[in-house]
Amino acid sequence: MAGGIIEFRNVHKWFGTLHVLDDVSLAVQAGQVVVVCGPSGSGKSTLLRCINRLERIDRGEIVVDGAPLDDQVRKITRLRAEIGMVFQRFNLYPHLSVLDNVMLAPLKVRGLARDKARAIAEDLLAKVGIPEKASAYPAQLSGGQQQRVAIARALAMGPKIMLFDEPTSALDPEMIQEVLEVMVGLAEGGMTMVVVTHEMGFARRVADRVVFMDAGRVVEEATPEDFFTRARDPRTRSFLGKILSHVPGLPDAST
Amino acid sequence: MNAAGSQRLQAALWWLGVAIAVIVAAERVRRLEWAAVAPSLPFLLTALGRSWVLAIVSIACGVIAAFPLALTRLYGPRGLRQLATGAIEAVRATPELMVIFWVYFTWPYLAGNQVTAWNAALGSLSVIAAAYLAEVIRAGISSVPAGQVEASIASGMSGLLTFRYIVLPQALRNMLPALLAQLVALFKTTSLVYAIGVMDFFRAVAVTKNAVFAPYALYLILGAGYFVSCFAIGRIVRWFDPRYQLLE
Amino acid sequence: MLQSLDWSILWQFRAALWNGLLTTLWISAVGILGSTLAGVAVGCLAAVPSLLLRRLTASYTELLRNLPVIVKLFFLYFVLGVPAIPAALLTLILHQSAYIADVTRAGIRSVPRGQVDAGLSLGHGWWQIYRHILLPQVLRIVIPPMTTQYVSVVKNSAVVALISVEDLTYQTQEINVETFRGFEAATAATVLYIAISAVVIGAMTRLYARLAGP
Repeated sequence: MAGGIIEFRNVHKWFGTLHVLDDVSLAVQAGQVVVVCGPSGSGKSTLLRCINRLERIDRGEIVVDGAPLDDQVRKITRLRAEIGMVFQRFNLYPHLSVLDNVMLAPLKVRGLARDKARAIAEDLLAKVGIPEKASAYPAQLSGGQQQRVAIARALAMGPKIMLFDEPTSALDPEMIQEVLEVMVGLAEGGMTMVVVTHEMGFARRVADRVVFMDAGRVVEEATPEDFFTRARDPRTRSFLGKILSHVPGLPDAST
Repeated sequence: MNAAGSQRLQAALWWLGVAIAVIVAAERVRRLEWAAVAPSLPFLLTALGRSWVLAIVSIACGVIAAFPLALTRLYGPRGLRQLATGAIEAVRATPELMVIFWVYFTWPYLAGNQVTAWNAALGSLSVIAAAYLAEVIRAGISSVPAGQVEASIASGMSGLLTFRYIVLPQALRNMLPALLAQLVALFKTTSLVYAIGVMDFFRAVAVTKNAVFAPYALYLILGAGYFVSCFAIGRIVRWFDPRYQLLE
Repeated sequence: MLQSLDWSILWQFRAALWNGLLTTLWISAVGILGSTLAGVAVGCLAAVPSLLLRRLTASYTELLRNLPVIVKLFFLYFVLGVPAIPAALLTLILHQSAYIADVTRAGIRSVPRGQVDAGLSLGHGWWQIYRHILLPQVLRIVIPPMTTQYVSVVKNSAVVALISVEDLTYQTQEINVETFRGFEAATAATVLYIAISAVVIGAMTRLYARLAGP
């Protein structure tokens, strides 16, 4: 499993006395889509936030794109520019228009010229299916639209890796599909993706591997096919039992 | 270095700095003119007590006046409501020092009799307190969700009963931190009655400073007197409201 | 008593009142500007997740907030010997900057943590996050409490009369001493103070409306 674009080597992290990541080792190859799932509090979001160093780790090592993550601010900032992230609550900037939300990082971090950044932003907004909302403000958009803008904003930096932190769990059921479709498009385009989600249909369709976490540990790691039909661990089977029995279209009770 | 380690290092740095500051300060403070100041200490402490009395009596008077003002502003008939609003806002927009001058210099004009500096001080501080507290009370009452009133009315309580048993208890709890914060503000404002000759803490220090040459020792006492008083009230505010952030 | 009032006194002393008004205005303006710069800077430092900075800034605000304006003013003027005008300006700036720092810190704290996460995840440095993401949002949040602070600066500026800076309050006292027409002079000064506060509030309300956006 060596040589992945993202590698966790015996990573530990504590929040106070809570052991949120307990000896996690994991590798993601370039171009792979990895879905991470698990009950709430299992450490899956923390795992994701360690990859672009929104959270520090206490022990072990994380290697991203060949370089170990360390504390040097300049390096971390440069690395983050190469990793896109999409959040559960969108986190669009409420004071900026949709277009300005997407353009800000290309302008300020990449130092692109305005017209070039604008062209990129308009192109991406078309790609996520809402070119007509360019001049609207986030508060005027539906949740699904906001999340698609957030995806466009992350893509505007031309990232090598995209991280998704429960991108659909704050959405009304009828909007989940429009966001998932954008994500499927990305996956089919060869993007390296790590997705924390309970959308098992998505996992089945595009994931190369599914990782199940519980109490800070990676309990199960398998291809979707094996994961859904031949899960080894009883905790995985119990979790799948709960999550797959829910009525399609209803919000997931375990998030 | 991990996050916890960095926090520990910073805490250590902080306490090291505090320790050095305390030692340096103690050394310098020791060399101040304490012998010259010592005889005046009882006089100064009495004056500090006087400042406390001024603050507490006028905040008490202020509360008494503020309730009708706030209720008029909230529920009063037209005209009266505007009048209350105008009075509150006018006092709040006028410098405290001007209010004190107003009461002291112009009261004789209107009433025809002289007013002592002490009474003028109490009167003006009460007026200031009333204006600010009226807003505190209004905010406290407004902070009670409308659903509370609806639920009470729906259960058959009259408007008056609703106010007495539902709105007021919640409002009082909400306004307590702001009320104590006003006491801090008022305590600081008492220093301004210096200007009309009341022997409060500030004037007592100023007078002593003219008599004995010990400016640093005296200003240290002055600062400590106000700081400790206000800081203490501020800490009490935090007991009541852990999210307490702003004083004024 | 009211019939014995002599409002012509105001016309007679119009030059003094006008000069007093100008002094109050420019001292207040410098005080507002200075305390905003100092207060926002301290408030930004206070919001940085660093224990040392938090303690240092908290000491700054606690110390300055718990001392009356007049104590700071007299200390600078009578004990340290700072000339009147600089002492007056410094006092106003030091005093209000402590409150403005707290307003700023609370404003920054009220922006959801996710905004910072989003900025970081896109590769913005802290400076850019403050400049482009936090401050524009904070600005909108803090305008109402900031208005109160600015009115406070105008009001506190009256204290400078006590060290003989010839502001509006000082002129009122002069008129009173010369003519015993304290009532008329105080009325005029109070009306002017209220007018200045009204202008400050009006300007901030308009700014708020412009920034309020969608």
